[in-house]
Amino acid sequence: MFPTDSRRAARLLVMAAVVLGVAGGTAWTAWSSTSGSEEISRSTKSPTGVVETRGEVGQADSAADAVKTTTAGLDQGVFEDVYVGTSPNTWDRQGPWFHARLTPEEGSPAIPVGLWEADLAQGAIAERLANGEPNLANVIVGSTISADRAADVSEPEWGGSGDVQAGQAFSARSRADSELIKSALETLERFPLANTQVRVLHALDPALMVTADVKTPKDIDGIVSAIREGLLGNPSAFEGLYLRIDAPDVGPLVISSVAYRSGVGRLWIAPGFDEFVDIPHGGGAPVVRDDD
Amino acid sequence: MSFSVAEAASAYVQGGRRTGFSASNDGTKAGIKPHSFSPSSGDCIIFGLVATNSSSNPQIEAGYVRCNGGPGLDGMCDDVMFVETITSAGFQCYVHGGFSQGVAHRFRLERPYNGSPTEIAYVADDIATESVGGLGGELIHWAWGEATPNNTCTNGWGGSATFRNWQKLTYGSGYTDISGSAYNNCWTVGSPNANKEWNVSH
Repeated sequence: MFPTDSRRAARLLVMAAVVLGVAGGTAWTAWSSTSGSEEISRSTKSPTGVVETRGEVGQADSAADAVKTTTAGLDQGVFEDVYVGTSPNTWDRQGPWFHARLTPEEGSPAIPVGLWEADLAQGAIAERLANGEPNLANVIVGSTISADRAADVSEPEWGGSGDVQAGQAFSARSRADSELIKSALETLERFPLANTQVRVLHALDPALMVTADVKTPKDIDGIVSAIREGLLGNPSAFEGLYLRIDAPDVGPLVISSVAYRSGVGRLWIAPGFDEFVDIPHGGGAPVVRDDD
Repeated sequence: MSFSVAEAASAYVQGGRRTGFSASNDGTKAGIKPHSFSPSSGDCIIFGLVATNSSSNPQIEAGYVRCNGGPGLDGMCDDVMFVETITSAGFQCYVHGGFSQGVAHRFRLERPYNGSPTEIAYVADDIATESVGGLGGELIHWAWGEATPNNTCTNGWGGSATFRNWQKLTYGSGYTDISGSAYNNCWTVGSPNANKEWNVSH
């Protein structure tokens, strides 16, 4: 997504934040071989690197107000329940906690659209409650996002809270939805995709939801990152993207979602098609066994 | 105790040190100082701690990631401290602030209590971040470097980091030093020195 120059710029932003952290008295220190046993410094949180311009976001009067305003820009009925409450466990970070229960979706995709919308909502709600706090992870400290599934499928639960700079503004906010959709469809025409559908959601700034089909799974070989970058721009003009590509006889082939304000990216790849998807991910640990 | 590799996931290039499987592996922590990252195009280099079970799913990892172009780890994480979970729902990566080469931070993975299926990641300043369920029973911990898929041993990528004070938590005993067993898979993995430091490099 980030060509070299932009990545350098993003890196400079992070480095600047680090320098400011030092100047502000934050103890960024490397360990030395003679240092004490507690060699680790505390860390000032830094931006994610997708900041385009800083924007002023209208602040909500209350968490309930923030939830109401935010969910008005999302699909209605996507949540069975959504609210800002407290941390669910004593071992969790304590503070305002985002809770969402998703309405079941047809086919129970591994990454439901509702999960992405919950990610968007979490970030937008944090933004509306930030009130000068620079790190959205200090506004909403965590999340629990759950969904009912078929009886024979264990109920998944997702959640987290990325350290994201408050005040990000995404440039698509200045364009009409119809224009954004037209532009996205034109981008998708550059790729071997069919049945392309684009929607724009507004948890805060615009976010794109895109679905498409391919004739054969091999059609996505090495192009998923390019589709993403083509849709989002660089730096991203949108505060999030949900991209799902299906193939005949496979169903969902790849689902990639990102929500920049909550600082999370999700990736699911149909079993057996990992080699076609050029979005990097961590590997499962090698399967090893003890000899004894 | 000796170990052998029953099966390696050839698509990933991971090397470091690991524990054996044990139900008393209630947590792990280490300081990690990243020195260099040279991923191949579109891919990422990672240094981090991992907790998982015998099937490597679920899995939770906390550390540093830096990529060379592309969308970043799971489409999100690049040039940041991160937490990634791997579950039946796929891969999820949360960003947790920037870092600088040569500056160490401590990472920690812990169950909240012995027998809990939940493993929680603590990043940098000991703040609880993401967690993953389904990790009750015997766990294995890794402290490693990783090059994401499409990397092979010979296509020009590189990176190095120093791990320090790698420890294991067993409830009832607290944290104790561990050295584990080296797992070399394209990476050169050192042994702990008198300062309890060891390197991973390629």
